[in-house]
Amino acid sequence: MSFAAPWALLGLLVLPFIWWLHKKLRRPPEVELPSLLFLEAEAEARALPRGRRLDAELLLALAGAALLAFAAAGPRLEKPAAPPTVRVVVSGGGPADHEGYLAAVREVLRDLRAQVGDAAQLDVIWLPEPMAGFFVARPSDEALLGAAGAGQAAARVVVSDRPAPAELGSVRWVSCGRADVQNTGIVSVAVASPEGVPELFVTLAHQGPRAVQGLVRVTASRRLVFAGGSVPFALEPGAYASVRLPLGDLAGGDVDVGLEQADGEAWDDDLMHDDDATLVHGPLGVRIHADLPPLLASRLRHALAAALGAQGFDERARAQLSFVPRGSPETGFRLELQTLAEGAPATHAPAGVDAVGRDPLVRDLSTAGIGWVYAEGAERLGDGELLLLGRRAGETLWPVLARKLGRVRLAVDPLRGEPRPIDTPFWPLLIQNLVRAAGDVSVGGGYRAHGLLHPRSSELGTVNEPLAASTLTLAPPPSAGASRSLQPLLIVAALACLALLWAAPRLRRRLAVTRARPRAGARLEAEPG
Amino acid sequence: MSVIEKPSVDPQLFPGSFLRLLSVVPAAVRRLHAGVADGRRAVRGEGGRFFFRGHREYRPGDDIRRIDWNVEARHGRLEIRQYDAQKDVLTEVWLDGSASMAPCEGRGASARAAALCCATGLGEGGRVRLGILRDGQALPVFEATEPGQMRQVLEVLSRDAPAGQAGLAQALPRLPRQVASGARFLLVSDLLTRADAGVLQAFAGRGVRGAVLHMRVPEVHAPAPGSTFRAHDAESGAIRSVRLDGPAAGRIAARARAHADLWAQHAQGVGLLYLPFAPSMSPEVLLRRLVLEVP
Repeated sequence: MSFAAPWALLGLLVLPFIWWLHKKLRRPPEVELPSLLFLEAEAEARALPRGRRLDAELLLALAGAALLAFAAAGPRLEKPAAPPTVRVVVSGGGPADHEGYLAAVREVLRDLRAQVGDAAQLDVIWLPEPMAGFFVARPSDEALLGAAGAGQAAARVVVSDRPAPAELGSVRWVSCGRADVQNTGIVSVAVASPEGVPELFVTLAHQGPRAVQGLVRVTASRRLVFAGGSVPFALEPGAYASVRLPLGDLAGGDVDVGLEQADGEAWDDDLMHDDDATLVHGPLGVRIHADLPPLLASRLRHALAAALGAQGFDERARAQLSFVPRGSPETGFRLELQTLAEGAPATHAPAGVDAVGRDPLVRDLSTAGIGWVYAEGAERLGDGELLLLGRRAGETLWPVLARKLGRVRLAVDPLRGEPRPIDTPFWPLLIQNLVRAAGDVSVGGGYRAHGLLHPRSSELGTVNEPLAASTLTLAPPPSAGASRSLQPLLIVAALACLALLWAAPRLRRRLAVTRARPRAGARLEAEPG
Repeated sequence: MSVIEKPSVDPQLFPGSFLRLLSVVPAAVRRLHAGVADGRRAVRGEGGRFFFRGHREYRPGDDIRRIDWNVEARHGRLEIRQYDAQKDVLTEVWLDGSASMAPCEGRGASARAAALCCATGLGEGGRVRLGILRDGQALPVFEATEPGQMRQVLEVLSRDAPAGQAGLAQALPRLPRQVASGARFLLVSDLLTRADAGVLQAFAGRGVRGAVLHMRVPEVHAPAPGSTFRAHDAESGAIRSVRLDGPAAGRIAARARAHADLWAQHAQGVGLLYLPFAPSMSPEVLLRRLVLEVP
């Protein structure tokens, strides 16, 4: 609320005067008598009905005066201005998941926080959100700029390990990383049998200031699987290389593709994440917790069977539903399902708009018409959790699906709701997305690659442009919107109070409330003759 | 350079009409006494036992107590003893000086009553001593011997404003020792005291004559019956909220009447005339009663 003429609030100072005046006027009259000798036997008058009856009039007078003072000050009701928001889009996925890059991003975010202080809010968006153990496709520059330019923000920042594109618009681009990064990576791996013999196709890319030479080594169960052994390659800065290798009898085992140095030493460059790839043969490892409610476990199996098709899955009663794309369980991720205890009070997610993120796990999820019921104590995001799917009601986000590193948590009870989530398309689509994220089955030859390998040589270059080189400028917040004047309302209220004040005594007399008229005098004793 | 002095006689207390009345008090006293039959003032009236002038023949209407029965026994005729009037009778006027005398025009009324008492005493050819009762003390403040000193009496009364408490319980027992035997004693008071009216018995057997001029509680501009007012005690300053309805006003008036009756009874018991008056009573009426009724 703001006032057009705040000095008019000084009119409130009249309130104590009105109070004093009321007390003075309504005080019982004082009469000086020669003595109280003949009055002492009378009971002290404690109840003052006259004064009590007039208290309402005092309130009306005070309210009328206060309202007039406020009205004179010209109050206006304005929509509260939201704190300025700095929209920060952090490029993730691909080699950007490298720990060095993540550390640099954290440093940039700290600098941003220090720059904007408490006056602004940092809205950090990972695009895509990092997923431990997975190699997620990196977004394009256009996607990053589009995400940064969406919505309202006082400033827009993109944090990436790539150099800034030519056209930035109003977006500030912060590159972090090392300009002289030396990296060679496996871009794609595929198995095909164009001539009846299975062959392995490997594409390599090199990003760095210096040319490199090395070997591509393909093993299955620690055994070289082709006659030629390691295949040498030589790559100039920014060059690609394709390697085609005939595969022997793999006997259905997993295939590891890796790089090594020409002298046989382990390959070592600035980004090790793309130095190895695994082709998994056979079914996806899925574990289902033995303690799940029977109905939920049954629906889970049905959904997994539909998603995996003929591949089937291994069911081991060791943990909750887990997708293990590789031999090491710690690199997989786990879907945590929670249910509401029988008889426990249900917390319903409010009606609102479903907020769906860009994570592959929520791709094509249909959430329409589902009345979510939360699992016990799950209606809040945990520390460090990333919201994948939620319901937005006002300014509050109610989580439905959240993720923290390798754990994906379904916050709502799949067995509760109207309709129940397990009875809607939401349920099989969610499981299908989980299966897809666990392993791409499109590689061919019965093999699945661990994640999607789409690094591009042009994306590997990084330029270090520290944020502190220039100051982030916050755009002024958008207009707070139309304000509403409260003056007419206050004037009407004040006039109503004053009218009541004027009418109250007359109304009382009209209603024949006993109130004797004062006389000129009354004798306490008959005058002696 | 002229100095304008404040009038020594308060015109608020003693307006011009009252001063004119005072100036004619001696003549009025003589005229009123002349018109009164001897029998009405025979007991302690004109003259005294020590100024024997002679005998005259009894006339109907004479006080039979003045018949000289020795003459009748010796000579068989009725003779009346005659005395000369006692010219130097002392009139003691004691005014209640407490603060309770002030409210509701009480100060002016009491001062005028005291002035009339003094004027009457002087008009009858006697002497007057004026005193104030305050805080349990009886203090003589002025003594006049001739009517020409009435102005000083009025100045004294103008200067003395009601204040404090009367303390009648302490002052009245001391008064008989200060009042000369045979003097006329006039007490002007509202008698608003918790003292026992029996303190007047201290005057018994001392040959004191006179009157108690009781200024009754004057009319009060009180709120209407049914409303509440805060009564302020002029003497003590105490305040008491009182809801004055019809029954309460009746009770209060009854207490005042009983109080007055008690003091009247005790006054008459010691030979003092009980003379109530109100501020609204005209001075002429009060003067007439003083001359005609007070012994």
